[in-house]
Amino acid sequence: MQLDFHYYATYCAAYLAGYSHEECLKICYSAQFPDNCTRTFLAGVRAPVSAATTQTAIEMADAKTDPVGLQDITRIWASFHFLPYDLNADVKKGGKAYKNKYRLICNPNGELLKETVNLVKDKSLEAVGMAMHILADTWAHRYFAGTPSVVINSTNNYFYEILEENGEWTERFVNFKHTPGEDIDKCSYINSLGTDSESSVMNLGHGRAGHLPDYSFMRYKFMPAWNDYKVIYKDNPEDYYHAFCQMIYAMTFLRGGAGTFETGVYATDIARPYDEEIHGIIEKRQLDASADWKAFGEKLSGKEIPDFSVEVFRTEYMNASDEKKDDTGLGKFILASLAHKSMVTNRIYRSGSMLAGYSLEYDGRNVGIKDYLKLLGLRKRG
Amino acid sequence: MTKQELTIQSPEDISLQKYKSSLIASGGAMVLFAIWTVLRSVVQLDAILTSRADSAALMPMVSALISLSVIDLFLKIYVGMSARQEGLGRKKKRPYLTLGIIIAAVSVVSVLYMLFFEFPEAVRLYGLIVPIVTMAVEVTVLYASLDLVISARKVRKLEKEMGRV
Repeated sequence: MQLDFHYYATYCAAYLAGYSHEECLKICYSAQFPDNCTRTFLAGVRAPVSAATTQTAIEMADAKTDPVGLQDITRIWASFHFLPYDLNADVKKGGKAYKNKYRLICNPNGELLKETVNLVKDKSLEAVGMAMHILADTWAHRYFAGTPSVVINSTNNYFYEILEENGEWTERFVNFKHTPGEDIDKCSYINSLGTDSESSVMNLGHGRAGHLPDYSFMRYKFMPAWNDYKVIYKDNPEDYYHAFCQMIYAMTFLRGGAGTFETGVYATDIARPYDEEIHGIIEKRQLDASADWKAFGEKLSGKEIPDFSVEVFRTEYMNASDEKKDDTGLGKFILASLAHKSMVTNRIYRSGSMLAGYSLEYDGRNVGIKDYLKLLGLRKRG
Repeated sequence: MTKQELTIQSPEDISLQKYKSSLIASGGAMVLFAIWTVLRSVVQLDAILTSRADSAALMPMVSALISLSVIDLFLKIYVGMSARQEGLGRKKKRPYLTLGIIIAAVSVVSVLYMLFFEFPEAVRLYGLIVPIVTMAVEVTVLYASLDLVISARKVRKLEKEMGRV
């Protein structure tokens, strides 16, 4: 998913869940921020770089692909963009290394999603936003894993867009290329370079499928390497609608619901009055639906939604004194991301996989890698 | 066509995709082995030029070796590229399957000849490593050519059954 859904659609979902305009802005800002919170950005504001939730293209090119480097990549991408569906999945083929990678395949409604949402209950709005990013991505990025792997994430030339033309359903071969510029009419999209190297970042996540999972209008069929030549049909409009309704349900729960967040529940009743509008935006063939989601959000709240800019977090954090930094938007986001990354790393480690590295138990209650001592200190203090 | 018809995959199609993938891989392997053929021919040529420098049969032997190598090179490249094209669902070139069968047959004879006639002598002259490596490559060529022929036949059979030809 991209800014149109993470920022504007999350604003709409938050508003429908009952948050005020100001609260919605904080949530949607932090829902988009996992795509901007790089080490480069964090180092620039002198924040803990271990809280990074994504990597820039330059950071990726510079990333080491030795086991430690791969663990770092996996911690970031599996935690925030490709949340694993079932870490104990019964895998019929392959050795331990294959099984561990297979178990990182992302899908909606997994146990880890439940833990993700429950972890941010009674936490900051920034934590809520971060969780919504992860939730939404489980729908868009399903069938891919947040670790470099040719045997899991690679796709072959069997890639067809399914679309309706003049009332007839038809399929069109997807032309992938590696140069800038995408053309919806010519079915021409960008993807990462094909390589047989198991640890190449070219095979991270949905790189080989290009941005197709990120476009809400897209319906396509393809053969991921893990699926034994069986075709997978990905219906983004349906998935994006589910993501939207699940976000409303999750935020309704986080705003004051009792019990625990349950998977497979969607607030379709709240979204129903706006179904035509929502489906209209989701199904419109366009590479960026920001303007439509923004108009819908502004119609809902009657307030203007400002454009997203990383400067909001940066300025507030830089201007705050050292003691107050953790009370800023970025400070709260960092704490939320450290806690979430710790939780996911721990669950992967406990499943018997070292793909995300070691997870320590600091004091019988808090878990994570040693970089997260800041989090522990703050928890003890608080 | 309905959306459902476009997105449901039959068991035959799963097999078809598997054999097409195999065809692409074995076709690629065949092209790579064409390069191996050139390298092996250069070594053989060097051996002939060194050991039979004064022989009257030198020129005919060199000519024959170069001719056979060139034929082998182009044959493997043609068969390999054609197999890849068919696997990728592009153009189909009918003669390549027949030529692939010829490569497989020659490869069987070559492996058997090497095993029973060349291998013992080569072990005596060069030790174990060189003959084993050469043998391993030849067996791999045999495997790739057999895989190519079987995959191509399966692809055509399945496409016929599914009414795609």
